[in-house]
Amino acid sequence: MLQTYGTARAGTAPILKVEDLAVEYPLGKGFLWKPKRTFSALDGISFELARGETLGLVGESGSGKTTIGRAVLRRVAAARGRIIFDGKDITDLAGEKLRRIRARMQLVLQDPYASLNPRMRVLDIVAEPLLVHGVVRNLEEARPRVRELLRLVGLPADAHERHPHAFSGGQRQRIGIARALALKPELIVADEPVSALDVSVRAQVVNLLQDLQQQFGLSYLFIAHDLSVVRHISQRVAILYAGRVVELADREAIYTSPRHPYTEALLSAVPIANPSLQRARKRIVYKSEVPDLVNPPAGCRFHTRCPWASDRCRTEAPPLMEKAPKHFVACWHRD
Amino acid sequence: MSSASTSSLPLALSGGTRLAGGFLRELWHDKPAAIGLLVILLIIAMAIFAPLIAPYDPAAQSLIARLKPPAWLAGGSWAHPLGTDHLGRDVLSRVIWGSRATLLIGFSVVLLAGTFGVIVGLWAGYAGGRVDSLVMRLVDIQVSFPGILLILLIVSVIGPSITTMIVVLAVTNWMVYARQVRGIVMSVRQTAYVEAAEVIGCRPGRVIFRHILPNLFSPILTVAILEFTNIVLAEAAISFLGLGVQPPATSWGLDVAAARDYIFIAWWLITFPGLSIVATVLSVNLFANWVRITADPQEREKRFARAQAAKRRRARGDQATVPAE
Repeated sequence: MLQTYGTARAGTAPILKVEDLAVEYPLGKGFLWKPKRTFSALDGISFELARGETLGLVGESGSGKTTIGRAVLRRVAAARGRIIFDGKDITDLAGEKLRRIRARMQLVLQDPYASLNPRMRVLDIVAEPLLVHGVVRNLEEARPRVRELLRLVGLPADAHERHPHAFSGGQRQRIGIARALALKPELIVADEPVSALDVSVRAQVVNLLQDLQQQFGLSYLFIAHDLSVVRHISQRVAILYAGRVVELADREAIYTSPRHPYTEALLSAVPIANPSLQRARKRIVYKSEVPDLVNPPAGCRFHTRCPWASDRCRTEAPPLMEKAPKHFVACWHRD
Repeated sequence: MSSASTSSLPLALSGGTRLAGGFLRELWHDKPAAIGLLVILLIIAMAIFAPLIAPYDPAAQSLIARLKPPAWLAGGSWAHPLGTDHLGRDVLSRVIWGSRATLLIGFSVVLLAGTFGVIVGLWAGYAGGRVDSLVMRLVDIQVSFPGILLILLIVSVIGPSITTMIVVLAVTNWMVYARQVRGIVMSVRQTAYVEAAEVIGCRPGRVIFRHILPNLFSPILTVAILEFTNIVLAEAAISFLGLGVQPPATSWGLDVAAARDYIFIAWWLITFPGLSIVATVLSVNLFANWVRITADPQEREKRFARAQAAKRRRARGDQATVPAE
């Protein structure tokens, strides 16, 4: 009875399908008969990602957006649910099979200073995926391919002999993107790829990601907390709150007519670059804090802060319901 | 760092002999390290060619020439440049011969215990979980057990010899490395570049050796040098207790220990073997510091940039009549 939550392009099979995914992190070790306590990082996550599409995952710290990316890449184990990549269930893959399938989905990490090994040259870094997957036999064979990759991401041709510390943050992120592209993946999980960068180079890196998407038909799972960047790059956006998707819709629908109370509040926090408009605007602030996910609240996880919360919200978790064409909202009240 | 200074690094980064030449030139720029290496090589040569260099048999006693002071003091003679000990043995010859046992034991134990400890630490740190708890509890047990007692036990059962001593010292000294390595591995495992390596499909072996192990280089080097001194002293202690190097063979540690009784009447007995230990450890230290920086690309480029800046400053200073800065 799993619902499919509409894709941008009907007809083609989605590259990635996540069904009712839950992830739990253990908290310490259970001692003898004492049961293990767990932290419910994700619960009931379902979405699809079409080929060539970008799905933006937005949420505050601790909402589980990074965990979704890790779960899709099978870096964290799913407690429940399925992850289907290109029609194949990869939820329980392990060992060599997992390694092979991972070559088709890659990761761009947040911090360009930490994500490149400081002791390796750019050549070694970008050639490593090619080497470990046997695409090339040695570094010399990889060199032309690395040059090509560096050119693609807009780095100087002589960059490959240098070490990462000789580059700026934006350039390092380009190296990270070149490494992710080396195996010609179909899906790239971009985990806040620009949030560590200077504002002035953010746009460049986002545009680069868009160009590469067009050129290679990449699909992006674009994780971010910066709403304006997500608006720029995504076709569809999923809003996360406390480990659940609260709203999933096309970009314009989310930004112009948000339906979930949490999305409204989130969007009202984005500053407008016009002082008079900014002053006139109403900022929605809900009282209280994000719930403790060790003991998540029953029902809707937002009910502790929601001014519209009713008894039903406190007992029964709302599923994602299609309130308008292709506009899914997890709320009992909003239409 | 500007791209110009980076790309003009004079060190050839590829090519075998060019590489070695580049390293030697780089070493020459770091004078203390170059001196350190030179002293190490001299001491090793001294150990190897001991029979050719030593003026006397280190065990030859002469009761007439007991406790002679070094040559430059009143009562000393050039027949015994560093004096003689309480049995009339030539101190210089003993220092030369003693280097053999000391170096052999010191280096072998550090190498053996280091290798074993690093492997265990890598394993525990990388595997984590139950393996980690088990291995680390074993380490705790061995650390809590007094090492010298274990050594005495084993040596008195097997009987003293250099080989026994090396093995026994390695068995009682590997835990330091394991602990240190395990801690670093656990923190490096969390870094983004290790995650990236795993996502691109590196197998565990490659992750460990390419991405984790290089981070261990400088801390392990530091521990190893400290351990080297410990081993030399431990060897001295065991020899002093009569279970280590057996007379008439000698070692620096044994001589230092034996000379303790004569420290007020014949200071040279303890001073010269002691100075030898100091010189060895110091030069190993100086050289290791250079190796540590050279193994880290970022530190290495910083050093290069500093050298270039110093050169420019000197050039300016030469031209101007007033010294710059």
